This record gives sequence, C-alpha cells and structure tokens, in this order.
Amino acid sequence: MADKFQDIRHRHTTYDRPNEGWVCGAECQGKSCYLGPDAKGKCRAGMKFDGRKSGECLPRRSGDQWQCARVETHGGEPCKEGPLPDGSCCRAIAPCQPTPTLRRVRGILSKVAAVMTVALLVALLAHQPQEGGLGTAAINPGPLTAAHSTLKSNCQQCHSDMQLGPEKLLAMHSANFDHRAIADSQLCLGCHQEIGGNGGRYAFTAHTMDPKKLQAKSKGESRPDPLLRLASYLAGEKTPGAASGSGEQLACGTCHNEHHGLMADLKSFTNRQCQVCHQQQFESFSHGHPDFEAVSYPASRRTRIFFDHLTHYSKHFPEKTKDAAKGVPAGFKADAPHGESLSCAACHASNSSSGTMNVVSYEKACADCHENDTRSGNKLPVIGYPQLDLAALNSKLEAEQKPRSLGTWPADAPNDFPWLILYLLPEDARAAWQRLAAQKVFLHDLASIKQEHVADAERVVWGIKELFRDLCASAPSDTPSGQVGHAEIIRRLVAAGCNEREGLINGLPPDAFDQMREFLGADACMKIMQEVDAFRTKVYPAATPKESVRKPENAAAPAPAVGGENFAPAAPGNASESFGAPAAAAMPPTGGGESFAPPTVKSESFAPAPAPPGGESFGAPAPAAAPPGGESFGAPAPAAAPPAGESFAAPAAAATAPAAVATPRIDPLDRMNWTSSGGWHQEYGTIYYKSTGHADPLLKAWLEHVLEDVRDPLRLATLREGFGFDKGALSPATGHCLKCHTIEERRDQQGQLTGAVINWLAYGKHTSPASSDRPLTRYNHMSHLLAADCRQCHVTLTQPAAGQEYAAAFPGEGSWNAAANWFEKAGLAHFHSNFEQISKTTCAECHTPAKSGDSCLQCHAYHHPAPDGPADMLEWLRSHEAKPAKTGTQRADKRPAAPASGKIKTAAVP
Amino acid sequence: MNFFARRRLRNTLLCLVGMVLAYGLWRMLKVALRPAAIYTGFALLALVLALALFNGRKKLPFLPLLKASSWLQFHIYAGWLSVFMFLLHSGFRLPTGTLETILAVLFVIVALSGVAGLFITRLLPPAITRSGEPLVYERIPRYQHALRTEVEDIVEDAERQSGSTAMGNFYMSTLAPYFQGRSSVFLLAGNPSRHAQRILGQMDEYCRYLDEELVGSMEQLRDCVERKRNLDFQNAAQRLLKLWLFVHIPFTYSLIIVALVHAWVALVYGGRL
Repeated sequence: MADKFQDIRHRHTTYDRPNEGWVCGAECQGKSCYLGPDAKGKCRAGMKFDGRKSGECLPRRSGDQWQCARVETHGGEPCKEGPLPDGSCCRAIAPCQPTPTLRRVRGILSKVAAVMTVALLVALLAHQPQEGGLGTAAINPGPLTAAHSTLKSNCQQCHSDMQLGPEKLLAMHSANFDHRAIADSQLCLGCHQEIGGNGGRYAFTAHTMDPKKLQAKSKGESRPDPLLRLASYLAGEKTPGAASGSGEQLACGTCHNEHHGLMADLKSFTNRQCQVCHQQQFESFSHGHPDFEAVSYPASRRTRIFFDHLTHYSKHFPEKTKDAAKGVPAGFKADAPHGESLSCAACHASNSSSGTMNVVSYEKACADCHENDTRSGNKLPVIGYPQLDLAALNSKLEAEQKPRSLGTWPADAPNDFPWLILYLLPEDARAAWQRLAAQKVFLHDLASIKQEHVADAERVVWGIKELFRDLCASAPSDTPSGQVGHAEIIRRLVAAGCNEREGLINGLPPDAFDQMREFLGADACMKIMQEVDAFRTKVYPAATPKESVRKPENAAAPAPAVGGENFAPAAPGNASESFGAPAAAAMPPTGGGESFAPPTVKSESFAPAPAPPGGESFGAPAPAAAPPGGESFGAPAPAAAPPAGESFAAPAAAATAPAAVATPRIDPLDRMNWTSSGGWHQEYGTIYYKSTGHADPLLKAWLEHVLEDVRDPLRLATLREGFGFDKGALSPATGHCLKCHTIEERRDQQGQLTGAVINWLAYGKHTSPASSDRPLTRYNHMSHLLAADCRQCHVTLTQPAAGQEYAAAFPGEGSWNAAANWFEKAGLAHFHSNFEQISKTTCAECHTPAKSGDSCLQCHAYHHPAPDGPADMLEWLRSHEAKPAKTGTQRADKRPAAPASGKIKTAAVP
Repeated sequence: MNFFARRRLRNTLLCLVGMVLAYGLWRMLKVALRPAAIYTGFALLALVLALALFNGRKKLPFLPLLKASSWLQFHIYAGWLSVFMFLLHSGFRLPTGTLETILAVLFVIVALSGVAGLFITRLLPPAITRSGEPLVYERIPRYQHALRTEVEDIVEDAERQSGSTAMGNFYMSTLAPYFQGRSSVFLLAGNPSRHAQRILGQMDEYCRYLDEELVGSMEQLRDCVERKRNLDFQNAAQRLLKLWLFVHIPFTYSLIIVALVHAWVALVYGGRL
C-alpha cells in the first residue's frame, strides 16, 4: 500500500462531495476537518452546535457522559483527553479559508457570462446610432443590397409597426405567418408602384396577376415529380395548381431575401422554385420545356404594320433594283432575294435598353416608296350642303295640311355627301337622319319617299341649314349657343359624343368657310339665315315656286347682288338642272323652295370657269354664250381667259372694252391640283380635306373616332360611306392609312365587337413588355446578335401554304362592306407569319447549363408588367392597346399644325 | 464488434439520417418558397435547448430520466446534428449582422468546445488509466501533500543514518521544487513524464556518489518521483477534463440568451409575428 495513495478501506476514506461549492482550506495539507465549510463557504471550525463547540469532532452523548467521536480519517481513535464537560471537543482546530470547488467556479463563470450577455444585448439594443428602430445597427441582420442601401437608416420604411401579442406568439403556424409579411410588403409598393397594377391590387398574387385569370390559363396537368409534389404541399397547396388560383398572398420576402449584402442577388430563383407552382413540370429547358411551335412563338400575333417580307423581297425590291430607284434596303441582293438578313438592319434597329429589334421610322424605312401613297388620297368632304332632292321633298311638304317648303337650298351640291356634318347637326336632326338611314332613305333621291319619312327628311334639311346659319355668324351674339367658328363646331362635336373634338377639325382655317359662304353669295346666305331664324320661331317658308341656289362657276369675285337680277328661277322638280337666269323680280324676300345662282356684279358679265371634276356643271346664266353640250357657266371673272378647248361666255369686261386692250387674265385655280399636298380647301361650296401626308393628325383623329365604337350607326356610316371604306379596305379617302397600319378588334366582356384600335406605331421602343404578346417572356436581341445573325432564327417562309399567306391574315378589299365581317380577319391570333416558326431546339443548342445557362429567369419574368394582369394576352391587348393609340392622337394634337399658311392658301384660292 | 462500437455505429447512422432528412426538408422548403430559415431556426433552438438539458439532468441525478450515458450519447449526436442544422439555418453563408455574428461566434465556440470535450473525454481517461493509480481529482492536493511529507521523511532518515547533509542538500536543490509544485494542464502538451525523467536522471547521476546505505533511500525517492509523475499527470488530465466545460457551459448560456433574442427579432422583423 506504500506506493499507492488511496486507501480504499472505508474507514480510511473520506466522503468527498465534489458537487458542493466549497472544500476545506486545509485539504491541501491533508488536514481537512470532518465538518467542512458551509454552503456559503464559511469555515465551520469551532462552530457551536447545540451550545457545544466543535473541534476535531463533535462529541456524542452516551448516557450521562460525553464521548469523543473522532474518526479514523480525521485524527484516528478517540482522544485521551475526551470531551469537555459541556460536551465540547477539547481539541480545537485552527479555522481555515475554504476554497471554492471547480464546479462553483464554473457556476459563477456561467452566471457572469449570462449577465454579461444580457448586458451586452441591452447595450446593443439600447444603442440607437440611427433613427427609426430599436438598436437598428445591432439587430440589422446584414447590409441591404445596393438598390436598397439608402433605406438602411430606418427599419420602419420596410417593416411595419411591431405589434406583439400572446395570440400571435401562439399562432406559430405557417398559415398565420404571412400577415405581417404582407403588411411589410405593402411598404415595398410605396416605391415599386408598378407591381400588381392599379393600387397594387394583384401585387401579392402569383405572377402579380388576377388569380382567376391565372387559373384559367392553367392546364391542369398532373405533377410528375413526387419531390416537387411534396414541396408544393409544404408550400400550402392542398391540390396541385391551387396556388395559381387560390388567391394565396405571396409576400415580397417570399422570393426577395434582403440583408444578405450589398451585392446579393434579390432575384435569385431556381428552376425548381419556378416549377413548384407550375402545372407542367419538366427537367430542363432542353428536356421537357414546351415547344415553341405549340405556342406560335414568337409570331403569335399580328404585326402592327402590314409588311409582307415575301413580296417585298421577291418582287418590289428587285424591281426597284432594276430601276436603280431609292427604297431598296442596303444589303439587299437581287440574286438572293431571301437573304434578307443582310439587309435587316435597314428597317430593324436593335435597342440596347429593351433588347428588342425595333422598326425604324417611317421616314427611314418606308417613305422612299410610300410617301406618294399617303398624299394621293381622295379629298374628304367635311362641311357643305349635301345633294338634295328638293323638288320631291317640297312637293311632299306642299301636300301637308300646312303647306310649306324648305326655302333656299344650293342647287348643285356635290355628289360627295359630307358625312362629317352629321356630327354637327342638332341631336334631333341627327336622330332623324339615323331613322332615314335605317330605312335607306337618302336625301339625294326622295322621289319615292314615304309620307312618314317626310318629317325626318325635313328635319335633316333644316338641321343642315341651321348649321350653315350658325357657322355664318361672325360673332357669338349672332348664334343661339353664343359661340362661333371652331368653338361652335367643337360644341356640336361634343354634343355628338366626340371626345377628340379639337383633333377632328385640326387646322380648319376660318376663310375656308368664308369662301364657302362667298361662293353661295351674300344674298343666298342672308336668305338662308333669315329662313333659319324664322324656322326657329316655327315660321316655315311658304310653298311657292321652288328655287335652289345656283352656284357660280367662279366664286373668285363674289359681289352683292345688284337688284337681284342674277337669280334665275329653277325648274320645279329638277333643281339640279336649273341654271340661273337673271330674275330680279322673281327673287322673293324669303322665298320658299328657291334656288339661287350666285350674285354677280353685273348680269352681263360672265367669267369662264374650269370644268368641275366629274363633269359637273355650275353656273350663272350665260346670256351671250353657252358651252357646248348645253352647259353654261356664269360666274364673274374680270379678265379670265377660258382654258383651251373649252368655251366660256365672254367676260363682261370684254364686251365693253376694246379687244385690242387685252388685260392679263388670271385663271381660276384648279383646286385639285393646287391641293396636291393636302389640307383644307373649299370647292364649289363644300369644304374638303385631303391628306397632308404620313401621320396626318386630322385623319388619324377621325379614324380613331369612328373605329372606337362601330356599333354607333353614325360612326359606322361615316366609316363606310364617308371615308369610302365600303369601296375597299384601303380607302384613298384616308390617305391609305390602313394599307399599312393594321387594326385590332375590341370586344366587350361578352365577346361582342365594339370597335377597333389602329396600330399607329410599329413595334418599337414604345412597345413595352406589357403590350408585347408574351409579357412574361423576354429575349434580348443585342446579346444574341453577337453570336448569330438574323437568319439563324428567322427563316423566311418562301412558299406558304394556300391560305397561309401573310396577306391572308389582314382585312383585304371588300372585307369592309358588311358590318358582320368587318373584323373577321382583324383578330390578333389570326396571323400567318412570313417566317418559319422558331424551334426550341435552335435555342437549346446554346441554352444548356454548361454553355449559356438554362435558367427560367433568363427568358421569363415573374412579375407581370401589365397593370391588372391579363387573362389572356390577346384579350388584354384588345382592351389596352387603345391607350398607345390615343396617346399618339394626343401627341398629334399637340404637334404643331402643318404649315397653316399652305393649307389656308390652298383653301383660300378661289 | 463490441457494444460501444455497435452503439457508435447506430448513433452515427441515426445522426446521418437526421442530417439527410433535415437537408431534404430544408431543400424542399426552399423550393416551396417557405421560410426555411424559420423552420430550421426553430429546430436549431429546440436542439440547443435539448442539449442544454443534459447539464440540468446532471444536476438532478435522483430523477429517473434515463441513464446519464444515454443522455451523453444524445448530447453528442444531437450536437453534431445541431451543427449541421446551424449550417442549414445560416444558408451556408457567413453572418453579416452584428447580432447574428455574435450568435454565430457563440455557437461556434460552444460547438468547438463540445467537440474538444468529446475528444478529451475519449482520449484522456484511457491515458489516466495507463498512467498508474487512478485518483479522485479532489483528493490530489491531499495526496500531493502526503507524498511531499513522505519524501521529506525519507530524506531526514537518510541524513540521520549517514550523518551527512548530502541527501538533504540534494533534496533541497533538486527534489523539493518538483515535489512541492503542482502540475498544470500544459503538462499534457508534450511528454507528461519529462519532468520526472529529468529528476530521475539527476538522481542517477547523484547516486554514483552515495554510500551503499544511502542508495536504498534513493530507491525510495525514485519510487516517490514515479508516484509524483502519476500524480501530476492525473492532476493535469483530470483538470483538463473539467476545464473544457468552463468554456462549453458558460457560452451555452450566452448562446441560448442571444438565440432567444435573435428568434424574437427575426420573427418580429421577418413578419412572422
């Protein structure tokens, strides 16, 4: 035992208590007392127990005696001296300084650590180096990304108020997790207002679009991947696809995890995360991704501009090349007409910001060949007296109980009905016209008019005369509305429901109407004004001999009638054939059913006038000479020489002046030739407008107006007959606008056709992702053009199948005739591209994980850029693409008017 | 394969299965756009609290709450699992926030000290057994004092027998510092017997000059040196067995406190409360 320390005999072994906090200070000397220190570390040597002082032992009582209780481990056998009489030990021990055990030290250290930790946390949380939160810097889990770095000073900019409660602490279930997250996400919308559409309505739904519409697009296929199925279940979807239509709210933080550093990618998203909600799941882009052919990518909709690549490259450009004319795109090779990729850049320019290939401007791409088309349109009668079967109508009115007539009316109104005046008529007159139109009763042919339509016809006539009367007024006090000129026209347009009122009379010069008034003659105008004023007091012209105003062959020298000798009574019942003869006595002051020739300075003076187009004949009576064919011309023209080959009455001056004194003649202007650049002009008492070229603001405004709601009979009639679309889709009256600019139908929620919008702008920088066919798909031409040329993806379809031609997808000639099929070809989806479908395999050659990557987000965006999220892109486009068109109109309206002087000059030339 | 090997294999497999399950669930939660950090955070906090209960269990030995060895096994393998859960919770990223960094540092300290403790408790006990007589740590000071007293008695006897102070001088110059000093844990860094071997070498050198009758005393002193070597090793090793807990346990308290604050902040600002 000598070489061992421990004696395992129980009498020689002390009972150690390592769990206690203190040990005797004499332990290191092997002299620890048997009592040991107390729990507080106080030495108990000499401590009294029951009044007895302890020493090496605490003697025990045995009967009447005290016996030593010293044990072997602390001193050996009982001492010889024995206990003191009071029971105290006689062998006192020196007190010691107890030492703490390791356990106690460790306990103290743990408490210190805990206290210091709490103190540290309190210090950190109480420290507010920046405003807006408790211990902002301390509890900030990490730097924000660069885009959000300016928000770091205030937590509450992104975190809604902290409202803690027991119920929320207990509600530790994922279903209840999101209410604060949504509240926080609402704060995101303070800056990201574009998310979720108007008011962020769909900001927290899948793809930030209407869940019902999203669900409608779901295919409902089963999920093939059990792991994803489980993930979907964990995501809260009880059934596959539920998330898309369940309306479950997704907080921004669901995908965008902040506080991961300045350079963190907030848009990091894996393909599997995309697919967890999608019905159709697949392994990768090259394995399982839907083919483009199935979704007609990228040409799933009609082009905004009608441009047949095939015909241009196979026909037009080669012809131009032969003629060495301008208009052939640079890079075009006549011997390889379909190698057009070499010349793509002539019309398509890449946009570095959007990554799109935009169509260059009209001036760069089209003007060389098509500029003349935009100016070659027919003139459009805007304001004037329409042709009226005055005799027939007067005869009906004479048979009324109160016989009356229509009073003064120009005898030779042009054949072109100025449809636009229908918008300027009083409401009841317009309603009367609509009733007549419904019964196919037209003013120029009233021979067989039924008695029940007479009142409507009469109202239309008086409505036109009222319009004329009010437009004749030169001061607001002269009209019932208190407005004149443009203001009066705009007032009437507003009453007719026109929103783009200013654009509809864009650039109308005042002297155009002045010339119209002069053309009719002051007396005639005065008579009409008097008749209208009387009509407005319910006094109708008497049923007396019918006359119509005769138009002068030259309105260049209107003059007040002198004695009214230039009026000729018209032949009753055939106003159009009544030509003027001096009839001073026949001029009643407010004659009913009169027709007038324009006043001339002198009855014997006649001036030659050019033959009006279409063989029309105008004229004042020609006392001396009549043109061949029974036509007579008679307008004063001081010294005008007749054009070659035509005969005119000798001018009055010539009859009195010596023939030798030949004064220079000023021929009347041929207005059609004069107005080849378009604009306003007056011709034979009617104000016309002709296209001024590409992007004519007035024609744009009118076309947009009439196409906005084709259910309106007035607009429908204006479109078909006023603009001449009943003669073909490419009405020259509109400057051939719709030859290139395609239209797109608009339908209401019931699918009924309501109107159409015109694609004024080609695909370009104005075309936002929201208005593209697939707003969730993106493709950057810029990055791809570095590695490939256009032909690798866009392969020309040289021989399309029958009925699959590009042009077959657009309204052609004759398709406008019947309202029922106007838009039958205007559907966006009805389209046959000039190019072959792009195959997915073309993209998959490079888009693999090892090469260019195949992340979903490379080609798809999550957030829908459309404000309220479309159910279907085609539907969305139909309802929203009116906006860019209107914007275009507004721009056009604000655009400085085309040189007004030219227009005014054109119109002012008599 | 003995019981311990079987137990180690079984528990390791269970731990690995737990890790795989945790990773799978974490991946699915990430894919499902669920707040994986919330779930892993709660799991991690629960694990840490469960691990901390082991210390409480040791303070309540009277309660029939499984065997301490079972608790230790759970503590070891749940500790490994908590390390993995911590990696999942942090998204395998280094923390960037102040609070998160403090928490991560605390966790790392606790985890590393736990790993160190695991290795210490696995390596030292066999060495203690091999070293010589196993001793109760709390009694070592007493034994050291007794040994010193014994050595002094031997030296006094030798001087008395030889009538020379040579032995006393040798004791004072060489043996006294050795027998009076207490070993530290740094003794374990290197050869724990190096001091004893040095003293024994000196004794051998000195022995050549001693009389025959003093050689016997020197042999007794050699035996005492050997016992002192064992005493020092026992002291250092058992002290180290207790000292690693001085890191592990206090930092665990800090870790739990900071973790609770972190959970509160995360739930409040993360929009989960």
